[in-house]
Formats: sequence, structure tokens, C-alpha cells
Amino acid sequence: MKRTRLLAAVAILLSFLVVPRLTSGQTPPPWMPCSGINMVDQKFPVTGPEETHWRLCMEAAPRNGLMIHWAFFRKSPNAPWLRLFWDARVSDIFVPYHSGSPRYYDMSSFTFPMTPIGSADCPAAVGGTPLGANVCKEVRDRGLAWKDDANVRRGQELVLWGALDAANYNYVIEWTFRDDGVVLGRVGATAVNLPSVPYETHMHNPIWRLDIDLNGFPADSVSFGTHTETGATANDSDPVINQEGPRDWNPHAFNSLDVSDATLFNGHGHKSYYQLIPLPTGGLSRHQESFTQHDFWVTTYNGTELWAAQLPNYVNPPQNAANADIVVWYKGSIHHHPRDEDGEYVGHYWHGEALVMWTGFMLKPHDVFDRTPLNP
Amino acid sequence: MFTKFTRSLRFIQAFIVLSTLLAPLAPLQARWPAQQGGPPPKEPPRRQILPLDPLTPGDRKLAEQIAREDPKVRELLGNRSQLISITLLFLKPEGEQVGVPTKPVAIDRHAEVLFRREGEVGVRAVVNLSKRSLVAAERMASMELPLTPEDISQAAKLALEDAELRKVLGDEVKGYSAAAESPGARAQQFAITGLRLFSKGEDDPCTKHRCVQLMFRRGRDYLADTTVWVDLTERHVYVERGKNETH
Repeated sequence: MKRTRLLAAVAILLSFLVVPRLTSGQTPPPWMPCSGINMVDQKFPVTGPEETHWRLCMEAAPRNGLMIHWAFFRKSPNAPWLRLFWDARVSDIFVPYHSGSPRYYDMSSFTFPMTPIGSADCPAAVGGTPLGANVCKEVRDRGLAWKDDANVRRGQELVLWGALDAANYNYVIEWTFRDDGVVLGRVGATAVNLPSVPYETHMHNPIWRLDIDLNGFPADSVSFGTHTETGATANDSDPVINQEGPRDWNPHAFNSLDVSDATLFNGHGHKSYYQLIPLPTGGLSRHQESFTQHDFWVTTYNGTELWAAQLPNYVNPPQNAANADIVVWYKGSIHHHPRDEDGEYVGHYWHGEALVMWTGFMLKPHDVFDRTPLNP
Repeated sequence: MFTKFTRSLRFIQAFIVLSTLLAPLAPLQARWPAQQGGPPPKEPPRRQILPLDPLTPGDRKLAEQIAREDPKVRELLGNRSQLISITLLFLKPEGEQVGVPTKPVAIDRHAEVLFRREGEVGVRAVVNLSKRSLVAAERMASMELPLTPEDISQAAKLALEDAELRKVLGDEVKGYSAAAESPGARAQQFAITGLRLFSKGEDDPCTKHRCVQLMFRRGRDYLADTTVWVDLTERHVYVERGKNETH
């Protein structure tokens, strides 16, 4: 009798442990090469049953600041995980002043530390959680995801940010992973104008290096999305970039770098891709340095090719970039025309802080989902 | 015997009823807590180093040792060299096509080791820590070599000995020290920070030399009417006094 009861109790316990795994039907999460605070796992919506899910590794380090290594997205609980990044980082921040000098390389020329992050930076009241000493994780409402008359859905996002202590400046490096599969990268320049010339206009040009590996390393291609108007009609083209090299962004042509994988299609058989779309604030700069003469660059993977100023050398001679392991680069610009709001002289000293100025990009899924995400 | 059987049957019935009742709760149990966005579950003690674990002091020592012992690096470094930095490199494993791994993937840990040698040129060595071997070594231009906190400290020390600058700073000169070696230096009342200066002018020493522009912070304010830069190669300090510019 006792034995039977014991057996029944064990069976009940097992049912509680095993049945959920069978009924949930979720694809198992990928193994990650990181742990502890460096591993970030976030499902959306934050409460209630899961719709989408991000899982990634982050690294906070001097020099390059906050970097993302490996990022996986799951478009529904039963869908396979999709690898997006092997590595995503700001490669450098190039800062030329209008008089021609100085011309700073704020990442490659120094090993600037990251600033401390405290509860004032990352308050729990707005969804903030400090991850270690230098990174803030915010999980928050992002406004409207869609609206159709009385039907509406607000979206959510996971934001990771940290700041580089670049002498008089701070650079805020921010990565946003949204519930609809979109990734945003931004850099914000703030703190104190160069004290010797606080009123001299200058540029802050962050250059991102994005090692995108859709469905694994090989067989990725980059197409150059272009919109063309002819009379009253318009046309979109998306030719594959066959060789390493640069491309320019034309706002009238809505240019984008579209990254696809030969093996990745959605449920309708449409080729899935991620679009790299510039989100400039005001404009994109050109300077005499050859790596700044273009907005986009496509290179094939080389794990030690990490510095933007070397881009012209990295693509010389150009390698085949179609059906390859590719890396895409994008240069944003902040045109900092100092204003009285930045600060003022107090005797021999400069007092005041330049408010945060942003530039960035969007990585947008295209034909990754089979239907409208976040939509019943 | 029959009574025993009917009792067992009752337990089996109870088991089925309970399972039915508990099944709807199953997804909650399966998803909690990682998918709730809360802190990740406590992990068992780590037995194996993960590829993205930060470099330990032991890793750094090993990386430098592997680099310095390699004949090619030794040849590139010459007689005098200074270690500049050691950083973790996360390289893709060769011959393996990692898509969405469900099991641990063997990814070797690599480090990039930068040295400065005589003549303001550098050497980059890539070291495979897992295999304890050198992967690559190459010479770098001076421009590609980052400044170190020690460079800023050295520049600050030289500048603080300059008579003209001492006159500008007055009694406050005693309070100033380099902030570069302390990440939380913004809390310091008097701190010196610096940026690497590059020049393309043929007559400008900073075209070939290692130069630093220094900034002097008092509280939250920066000295603005005096420009100080230091040629670390020649150990020379330049102080330029000007008026506050306007716009």
C-alpha cells in the first residue's frame, strides 16, 4: 500500500516536471558563450505569454565601450531561434574640428574607461537595472507598435547602454532590441566642449562595425536597396554587392544595406533579410580622410579587422562578398555647432555640459515574420 | 488482493485528475523566471571557462609571455619595448559553422597584445590562449597605437613642472594629478585628462611624435584660456595662453 502511494506521488511529481516541457513546445534556447550579467535574456511582452524573445551576450570594456556578441531572436515561442550578430560594436569615433586641427580618434587612440553607472543613471522606476558597474539595462514601453482606429498595441524594448569617459566628453553607446525584431544602435555625445576651443564647431563620427551572421557564418549576401523615381512612377532595386567596397547613402534614394542568407526564408518562401537603415540627425559628413568618404562599407569577415580608419586597406584588393561571411559598416555623424546652451566662461574656466546629441541606425527585419508581429 | 488493486486504481485516477489540473500551470513553470525579464536563474558553479569570460590576470600574463617568447615578435620588438594593452578577441572558430548551437561550441580564447617599440612604432600580436600559440604578429604605425593611462600620467607630470603653467595654475597646481588611471576620476577636485594629438603638417613635431593635449579640470569646470600639449617623444611641454574665444 505504502509502495503504491509512493509510486503515485513520484508519478505526480514527474508529471509536473515533464508535461510542461512537452506542452510548451518552445524551441530550446541556444547555448551562449557568456554567463552572469553578460548574458541578457528578454522575452516580450514582459508580462503574460511570450510572443517574441531576445537572447544575447554583451561586453563592457575600455576603448570600444559596450559591445554585443552573439544575438539571437525568436519570432514566436515555437519558431527556431535566428542568429543576427556574431559581433556588433562601435569601431571608432572620429572627431575633426573645423579649423583642420585637432582630429581625434576617440576610440582607437586611447583606452578610455567606461563611466560608472548608478541609480541616478539607471533608475528602477523607469525599468532600469544596472548590469555590473558600467551598463544599464532598461526594459520599457516604446510607444505605439501599431494603431488601427480603436484597435491599438503598444510596443516594448530592451535597451542596453553604457558611456565611455573620453576625457572632457562622454559617449553614450546604446543598443536597443525591440519586441518586433528591430535593433537600433545609437551614439550620443555629451559632457564638456573641448576647453581650449569650446566654441569651435566639430563633428563626432561614430563608425559601427556589424558582423551579421543570419543563420550562421557562411552564405550571407548584402544588397544595396535603392528607390528611383521616373516621372510619376517609382521603382525599387536591390542588386547584390558582389565585391568588398563602399557605398554612399542618398536620402532621396532611401538606400539601405540589405543582409540576407541563402538558406533563410520565411513561411511564405520569401527571402528573409535585415535592412541597415541610417537614422541621421541632420546629415552625414565627408572629411579628407578616405574612410570618411562613404557612409557604408561591406567587407568579408576577418576577426582582427576592427578599425574603421583602415577600411580602405581592408577592401584592397577587394574580395568576393556575395554568398560569403560578411561584415557591414556604417558611419553616422553629429554636427556639433556649439551654443550658449553648452556652457559659458567663468573666469579662466569653462562651465557647463553639452546636452546629449544622438546619431544612429536601424536594423529592420524584412520578410522575417510570416505575418504582422504583435498582432492577434 | 482485489482491495489492493482498487486502491491502486484510485491513486491512478487521482494522478490523472491532478495531472489534468496541473497541466495548465505548466507553461508558467517552464517560463519562469528567465522569460519574465527578471534576474537570470542562479547558475551552478562554473566548471569551464566560457569564450567570452573576461581575461584574468593569469590570462594577461600568459598572453604577454606567449607573444614575447615568439621569435617573430621578438624580432619585431627589438631591444626596448613597452606593453600597451591586452584585450580579449572573440574570433570565429575555423571550419565550424555555428548557427544556433544547442550544445557548447569549442571556441578558442584569443587576445590581442599591443606593444610599443623604439621609434614610436608598434607591434600587434594575436595570441591563441587556448592553444598557447601565436596566431599573427605585425608592425603598426604609431597612429594606430592607443595612448595609455601611463602616457597621460607622464605628460601630466612633465606639464606640472613647467614654470609657465605653474604660474597659470597658481596655488592650485599642488592639487592637480592625472585622472587617467582612475575611472571614477570625475569625483576628483583637480584632475588632468588628455587626448592624443595628430598633425599632418610637415613642420609639426606631432606628425611623427607621440603628442598629448592636456585638460585641467577643477571641480566640474575646465581651464579654458590656456592650451597645454606635451610631446612625449621629445619630452617637451608647450603652453599657449590665449583669450577666451567668443562666438
